[in-house]
Amino acid sequence: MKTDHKNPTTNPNSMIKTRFAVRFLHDMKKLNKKTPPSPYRRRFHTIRAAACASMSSAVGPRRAWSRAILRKIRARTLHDYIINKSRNHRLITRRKSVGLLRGNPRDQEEVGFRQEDDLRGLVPGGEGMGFCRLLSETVHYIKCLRAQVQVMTNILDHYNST
Amino acid sequence: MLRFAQSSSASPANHMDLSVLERQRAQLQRLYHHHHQQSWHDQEKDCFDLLSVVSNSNDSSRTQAVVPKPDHQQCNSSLANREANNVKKRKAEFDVEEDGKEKGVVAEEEKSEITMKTERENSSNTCSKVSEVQKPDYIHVRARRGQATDSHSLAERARREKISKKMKCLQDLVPGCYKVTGKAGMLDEIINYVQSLQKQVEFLSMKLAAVNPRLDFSIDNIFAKEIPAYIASLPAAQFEAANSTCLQYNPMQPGPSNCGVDIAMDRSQMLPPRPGTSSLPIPEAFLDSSCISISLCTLSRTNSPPPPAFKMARTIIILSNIAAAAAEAFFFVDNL
Repeated sequence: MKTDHKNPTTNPNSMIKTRFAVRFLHDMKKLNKKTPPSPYRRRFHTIRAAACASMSSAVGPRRAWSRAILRKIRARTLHDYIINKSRNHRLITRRKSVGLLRGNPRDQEEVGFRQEDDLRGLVPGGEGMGFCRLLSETVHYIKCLRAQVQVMTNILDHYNST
Repeated sequence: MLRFAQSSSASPANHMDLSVLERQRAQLQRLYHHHHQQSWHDQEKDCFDLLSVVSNSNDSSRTQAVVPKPDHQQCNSSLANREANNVKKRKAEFDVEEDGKEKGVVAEEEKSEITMKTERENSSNTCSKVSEVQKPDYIHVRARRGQATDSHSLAERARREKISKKMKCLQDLVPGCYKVTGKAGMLDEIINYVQSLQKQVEFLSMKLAAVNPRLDFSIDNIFAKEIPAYIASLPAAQFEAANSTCLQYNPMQPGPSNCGVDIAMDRSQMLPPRPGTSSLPIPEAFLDSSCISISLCTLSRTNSPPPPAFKMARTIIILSNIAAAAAEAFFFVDNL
């Protein structure tokens, strides 16, 4: 991957990494504060959700996929507030069906229905976008996922070394 | 066919300064070598005539060509026939650019067509007929053979070029994608890569959940360690002093109070969860305060005076709960 030779403080990739690291560690501390002897499974789910949420809040509302994740989180908390704690499938699926604008059908014929649908399913918020926009969102999403993996690997290495 | 290729290969030698024309001719040669399918002798001849016209035009950097208005009805019908086989078999490409300074003329060859390559500022469509576009806007026009010239297909082609540009970006990003050619294979690779990245995140969060009980003690050392990893060449000397103090602090703490820490960990796990309190005060209460003071004294003796912000952060880390320490660390990060 090409490395940026700009000033590291203005390098957008490292800025995102720092922001993500800060938020993620903050979330993990909060998790620890709450219930230290919580079961492993619950902790795992919380950490995964925290990673996702802190990544999307580090990116901000600039990107469609981060907006989609933030929307999902807010909808989930609202739903939990209104009703008991339950999974928020209904709201999410409703949003999916509303924003179901398929891309240009010619692209689907060229590329194949399956692949475009798969990509839409993978990238958050990919349901209501054209194919062109979906590709640019995928580029940014891949970059952020990579940064996330690097940060989490660093954190783990730090724990394993100490 | 061959004579066309040969003659067109001869001409670039005379006009080496027109790089645009060279590109066109290179493409033409390539295409004509590869695809001999239809007998377009007359068309080729006309095309070649136009090329020569273009090549013999002035030696400005922009190409200009004046083309007599061809027989449109004939060409439209033939174009309509060929639109179905919309493969890039042959291209007679005329790059006509128009500046605000110069008057450009859109060149359209008889059986060629104008494909629009619009700049971002420009959104106007060219009509299918030959027209003298005298707008001050910037229009890149690329004429191709065997394809329609109406605005729909032009816009579609522009869109397709955008998509291919993005696919190239993705190809750079995804490792191992350069081996695969074609959209379908590349998309498969991209999908696999995204899935593998997501699984990696999940796996790492699993491992972190397993490690998590030990998180309290070294969480703030992570900040000081990770930050130099991300922000590589910060010029601040004070930051490096801070880093060194932190690194020295880390091995020092387990040293004198190792057993105390382990017991404290067990205790903290056994205690019922108290809402709103951090678990650090629990091991601290258990730890002998002398251990902490010993480590503090050694730390202060060994180090050169650290910058005030970090000193404040360090004392808070030692004495207080995690939330305040996190706030200080955030403050530190924001100051960077």
